[in-house]
Amino acid sequence: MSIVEWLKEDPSAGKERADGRRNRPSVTEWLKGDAGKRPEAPVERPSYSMGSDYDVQISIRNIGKTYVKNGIETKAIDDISIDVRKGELVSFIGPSGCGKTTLLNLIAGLLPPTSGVVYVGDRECVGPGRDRGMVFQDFALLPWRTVKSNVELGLEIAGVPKAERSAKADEYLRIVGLEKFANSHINELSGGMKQRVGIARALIVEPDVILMDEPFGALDAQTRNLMQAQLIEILKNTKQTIIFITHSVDEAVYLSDKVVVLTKRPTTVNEVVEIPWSRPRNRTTPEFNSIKREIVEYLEHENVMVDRCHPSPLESSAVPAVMPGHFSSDSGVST
Amino acid sequence: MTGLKAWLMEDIGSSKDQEHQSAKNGRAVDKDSRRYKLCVNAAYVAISITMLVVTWYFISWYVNKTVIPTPMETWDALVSFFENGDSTAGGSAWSYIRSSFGTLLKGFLLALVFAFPVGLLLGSVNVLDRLFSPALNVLRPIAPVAWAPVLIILLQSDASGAMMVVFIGAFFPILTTVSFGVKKIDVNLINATKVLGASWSQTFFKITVPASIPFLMNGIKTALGIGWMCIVSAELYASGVGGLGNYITNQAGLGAWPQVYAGIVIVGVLGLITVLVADYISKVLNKKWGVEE
Ligand SMILES: Nc1ncnc2c1ncn2[C@@H]1O[C@H](COP(=O)(O)OP(=O)(O)O)[C@@H](O)[C@H]1O
Ligand SMILES: [Mg+2]
Repeated sequence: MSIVEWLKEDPSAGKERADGRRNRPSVTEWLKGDAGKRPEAPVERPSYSMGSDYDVQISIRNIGKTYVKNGIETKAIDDISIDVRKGELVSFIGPSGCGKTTLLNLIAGLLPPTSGVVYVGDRECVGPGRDRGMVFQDFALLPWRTVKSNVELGLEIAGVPKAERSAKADEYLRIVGLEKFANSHINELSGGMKQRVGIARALIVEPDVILMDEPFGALDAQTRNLMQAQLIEILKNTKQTIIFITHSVDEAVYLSDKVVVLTKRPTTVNEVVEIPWSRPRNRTTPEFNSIKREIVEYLEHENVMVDRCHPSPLESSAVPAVMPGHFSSDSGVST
Repeated sequence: MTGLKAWLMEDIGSSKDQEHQSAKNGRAVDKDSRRYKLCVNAAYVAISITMLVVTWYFISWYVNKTVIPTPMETWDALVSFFENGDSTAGGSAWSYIRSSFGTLLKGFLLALVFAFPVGLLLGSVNVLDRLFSPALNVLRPIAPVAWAPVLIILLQSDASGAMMVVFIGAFFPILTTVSFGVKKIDVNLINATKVLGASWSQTFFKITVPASIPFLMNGIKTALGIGWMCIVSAELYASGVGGLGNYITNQAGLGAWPQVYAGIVIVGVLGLITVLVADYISKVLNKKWGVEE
């Protein structure tokens, strides 16, 4: 075994190992990851991409990922191609363990793909960079810093002078409604407030796209609804492009311009459902619920167990929840 | 009794609560007040120490030999040591304490300066960890004082030798806890900085170093305890340093057992104080870092 191979064998960047322990990427991998660097010359987008659509912000082309651990191959993602337009919110929904987090990590550049390419605009992405921000389900905030200094992190890394950093942080704290908590410590905040810090931290560097991995999954039902409303407000003001992963069909339909339903592992795109309405939306309309039902049906197609607690979907405004603790058609946390 | 109750009730920490409380409960003692908690803690400490002294007295009475003097004899020796200094070799009690404490502090700080960065590196660079850990694990179980004769000859100074014994003793707990802590850092924290465009060194200084602080504090607490063990055992060996270990050996050589025990008591109390200070700092930091205790 050559030393290079041996180094490569290190636990893959940013992923959980099968035994549940988290692993730090090694330096070698980090260096290979080419953090934040962009190719010198813009790489031409191959001709098969949607050449006429100049609005495309993120283009995922035939991306695939196979994990290799101890000689065992796990094909997480088979082949996914999706375009995300500027200002769009595209959500991904799929069975648990199908590879949603993997997909997001591939787009973020935290994991090297086995096949395929991710383009941001015309640039081919190699490694993570500040053009693709991220919001984490468990917030991933720095508890030893104040709220404001957490928000400033990206600017600090970019070497922005202190005064400018501070002014901009104030602006983004206002956007997420936390200006009164600038000097609070992270562990004094509620879950919803923590995630607003997470969102402000991602927004402040003005990335081309923000990747959100079940960002409201750890919040209670009411906070979750509030956060969705606030995200819509933020979208209105910033026109931020967002790729959103969720477990909740309701959340997906409420927020997205486009819902990408994934198949189970190895993942491919099952169906793309366009949602043509402007935001904010009314959750109680029959149209809203019929789209929800449509998505649940696509998911059911994947042999996901269905909780038939509602005898007939027509009898209630809600769509039957799919697999308790997994998909929920309600707006709250999975039952 | 009423005086104590009144004192307990006027809490500095929560004067607002206090008004509220006294208005509502009349003269009841506020059990959440900081003073009340402090008193309860002090009571526990007092009971614990009393139990120790009583057990000591019992053993001394039962064995009935001069090598185990009673606590009272030891107390007299202790008072006389502080009042008159060392009657045989000269030198005040404070000079012995200063000497031991100085050696401890130097050895400990040296260990901190080396063990913290090495722990950070071993924790964050897998290759280095795999390369050095086996060798370090061979060295770890060797009692630090075993190096004392070698170090004293090598450095040609009893004081430096003793300091290096402390260094060795304090080095390993700091190294181990820090490198363990770094490996436990949430990968999402690292990812969060990476997606903001951080370089390896930026992530190292903005995440790895601060995230390891609670672990460092744990290592420091252990290291200080071990440091006291090391310093006294090294001084038992190195005759020319003039610390408490020297005092204990000299007095033992003269058969002055109460004086020996006085020396041991001083070491115990100083050790306790150092660890309590480190514990306090660690509590404050843990609160800020949001670490559950
Ligand atoms: N580092 C890894 N090594 C091996 N297999 C992995 C690794 N990370 C994830 N997997 C596997 O890939 C699949 C997809 O995981 P993930 O992307 O976390 O799914 P999701 O986010 O959709 O729940 C799972 O079966 C998981 O066990
Ligand atoms: Mg996931």
